[in-house]
Amino acid sequence: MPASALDTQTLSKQSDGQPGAGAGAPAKRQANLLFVLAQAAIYLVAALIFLEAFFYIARVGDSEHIMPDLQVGFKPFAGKRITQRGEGFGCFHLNSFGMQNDEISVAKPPGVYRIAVFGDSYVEALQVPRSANYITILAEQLSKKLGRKVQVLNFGVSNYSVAQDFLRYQTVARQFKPDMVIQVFRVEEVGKLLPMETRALLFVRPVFMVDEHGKLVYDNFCVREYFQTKEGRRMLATQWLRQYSRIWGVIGGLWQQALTFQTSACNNLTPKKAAPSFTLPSDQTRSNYAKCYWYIMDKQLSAFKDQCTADGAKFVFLRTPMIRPGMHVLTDNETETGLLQKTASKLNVPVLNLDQAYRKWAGTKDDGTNFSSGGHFTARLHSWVADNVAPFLASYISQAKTDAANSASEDKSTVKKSDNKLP
Amino acid sequence: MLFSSLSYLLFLPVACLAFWLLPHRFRSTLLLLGSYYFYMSWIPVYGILLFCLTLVNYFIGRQIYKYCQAETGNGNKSKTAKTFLIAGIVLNLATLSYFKYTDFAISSWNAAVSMLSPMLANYLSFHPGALSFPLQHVLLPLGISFFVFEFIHYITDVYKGSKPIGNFVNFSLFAAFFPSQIAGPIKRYQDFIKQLQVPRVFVPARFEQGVVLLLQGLFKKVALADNLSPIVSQGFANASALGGGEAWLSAIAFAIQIYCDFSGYTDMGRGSALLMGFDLPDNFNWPYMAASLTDFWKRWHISLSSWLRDYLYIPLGGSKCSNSRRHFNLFATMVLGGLWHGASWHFVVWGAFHGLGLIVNHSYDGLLKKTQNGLSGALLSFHRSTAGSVLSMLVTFAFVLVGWVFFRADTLGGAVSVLHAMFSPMQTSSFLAESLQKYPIFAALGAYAVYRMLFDRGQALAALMPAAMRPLLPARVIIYLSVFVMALGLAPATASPFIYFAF
Repeated sequence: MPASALDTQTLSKQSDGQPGAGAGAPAKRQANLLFVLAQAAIYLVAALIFLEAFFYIARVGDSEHIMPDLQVGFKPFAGKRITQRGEGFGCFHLNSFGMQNDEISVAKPPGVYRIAVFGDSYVEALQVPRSANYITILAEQLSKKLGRKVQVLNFGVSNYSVAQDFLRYQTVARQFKPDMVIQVFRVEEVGKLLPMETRALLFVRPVFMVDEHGKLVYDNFCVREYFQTKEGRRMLATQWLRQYSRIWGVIGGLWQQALTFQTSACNNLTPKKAAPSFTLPSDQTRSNYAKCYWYIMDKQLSAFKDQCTADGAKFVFLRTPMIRPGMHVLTDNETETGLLQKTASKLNVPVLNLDQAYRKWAGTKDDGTNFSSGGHFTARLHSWVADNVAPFLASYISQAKTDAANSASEDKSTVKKSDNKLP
Repeated sequence: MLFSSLSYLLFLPVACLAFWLLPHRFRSTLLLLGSYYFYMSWIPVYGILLFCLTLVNYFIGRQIYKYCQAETGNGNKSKTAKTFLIAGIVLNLATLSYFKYTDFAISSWNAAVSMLSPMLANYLSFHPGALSFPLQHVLLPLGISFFVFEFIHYITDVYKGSKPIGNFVNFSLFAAFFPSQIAGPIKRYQDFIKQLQVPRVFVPARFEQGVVLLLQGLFKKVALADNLSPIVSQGFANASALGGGEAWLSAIAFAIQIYCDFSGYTDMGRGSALLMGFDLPDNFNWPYMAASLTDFWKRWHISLSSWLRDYLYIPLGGSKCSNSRRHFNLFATMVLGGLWHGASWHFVVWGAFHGLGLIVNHSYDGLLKKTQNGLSGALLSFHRSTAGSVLSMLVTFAFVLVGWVFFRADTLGGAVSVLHAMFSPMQTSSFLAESLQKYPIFAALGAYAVYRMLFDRGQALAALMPAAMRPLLPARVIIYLSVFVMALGLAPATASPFIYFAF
């Protein structure tokens, strides 16, 4: 609004010129006050509409993309437009199932092969245009290689654990009847096995424990507790605004900054003992930790695989290059890789580990393949991952088809033989 | 503490409130304490440097005044006063040089030695590394270039006959006043002290004007300059591989960035001062609308240009001398002005480039005025026409743009690469495509253009509005809040420091 138009003297005179203004009578004063309030209300509404429209056009205030969920901890907003500018640039609508995918029908069209991919933000890939992430490229390459339409569905969600992936499969993915489920691993998965008390929504997770009989026990105590916290209640109360208001998105960001500032200022003024936090100080500790708690992961993967098999889907592990966020170097966590391999052999699940191939291709530095601030994949690395995964999956799918055909014909001949044996 | 930071957003209202609540006699002390807190929130120890320089200059100013009062019989200034003046100037420049130019001098020396190494091969084989010196990595105190110039202005003016500041608190505040402390405008003490002596009266309209300036500056900084910063950085970082289009884009983006960054800072500084009833000089007057290079320097960083004119160009002889001497004075002033901006050869080249441009500009003007033939008449009338004005503006902008390439590039080689790309239109590249999409720069530019349009035609637009819709105070507060939210909404996640903080 024109600042020079805001000549206070002119304006005060002008307000005096309003009917009833300037007179001493209480009724007139009241009318004057009402006029001022009404004008302010009109300006407020106009400002809100203008800012919402402006931010929508400018793609600003779109960055929040998850909401609290009692069962899964948190999940993406369905249908919300997301603009991510922190690393790279991505702007897209999540589909009506809250997936980083174009809109997709639940019913599988005839002749279509469906692959569901689960993992964290490295699968979700908010940092690059949707057309450039490895999920989309993989679908194109597999369709070409297999000579049939292949749909690759992206069920990746930032900071999800394997337990949350399993729950997402049960609550969302299962209805799409995928022919194959890929569980993607990177480097942080063991760190998400145990419950964690937190005020940050991105870390609110249910967990699966293993009871004395070796059965998985679902535990969402941390989620329920989060819902009772001030932050949790604020999240729930402002859910509509977080989903639909760009102004709220901007103010929410500022609020977070203010909170961080306040916390650091308070810490500076009154240094306290740091609150306990979950960190693994060295690679050796990480390795020991992984060995200690892998049995939970093993059980979860086993249950996940059993569920998929029961639903008629193949189960595959994919280990994408392991860049640890913020460190920009390849993390050589051989323990986790070995444990995963062991579980895969036990469950008879194929594993594609891209770590070594990546080292050969890019060396030990991440120049141009990862965004420096968080290690997420750039378009170049997405393309490379797709190029490496597509041949493996194509041959696996073809092989599985051949095996299935062979076993079907064997079954037929067995039936025929037994028929012959019949009197 | 950055003007665009959350800390400042908290600091300013507290300082303002305390200022207006306190009686006049305590306000200078309060502002001084606040200014030192502001300055020392960065590196506390540099507050001591500022204090020591203030103390020494205060003393020198008083001595100069004392000895000037006791003039010699023939009306000449006392030699002691002159000695104090020279000592003061040397001390200020030496401090500035130590902090700003030590590493520049060492690296230039080392480069010269390595260039001459074939000639010195014999000596160096016996004394390897004897002629090279390690860099000192001296951290530049924020705002030193600005307050040192203010001190030089003070002691020089006192020597010329102005009355010195009698109160140490007021003098310290002149040097440390937080709205202008880090990146100017370079104040004149006579104007500032006058304002300190007269009790400030709270005038709502002036306070509101301060808020508007603050918001305008914030928008320029965080929504425009900070969004352009990564595009410029990316362009100049890939100087050798830039295509023609992207080279021009990088240069134009920098021209807008540096204007928005610096004028945004000035607006915020002036706005902050106005909240407490102080007027600071304006530093910019639509510089890219300048119709000549001379005109540009009357519109760009006005407080520095006038300082260079008064304390460098005129003492060197100014324009009251032969043509060649005048040209030398111009050139030397601009080269030193370039060096003031930064301790690097590309700043020197930038200054020299502008110096040469000004010489050509002055010569052309002089030629037009002197020659009375038909051609000069036609040229003069062409310059006065609309087409002529537009063409002059474009040519001036193009010249300034080329100058900005020298200014922004990290090295001279980098500048040459960008300029080569700018004049090789067939070369193509796509470094900036993603950044242009990533940063909401077009939305910010559009919003600012609309804001300027409304601002400049504000009175006329307000007159067109129905009386009931002309905004009263609550409505205006809503408008200001909207601009604030808009500016912060458009701001990128990581803020860039003000460019002129580095000088």
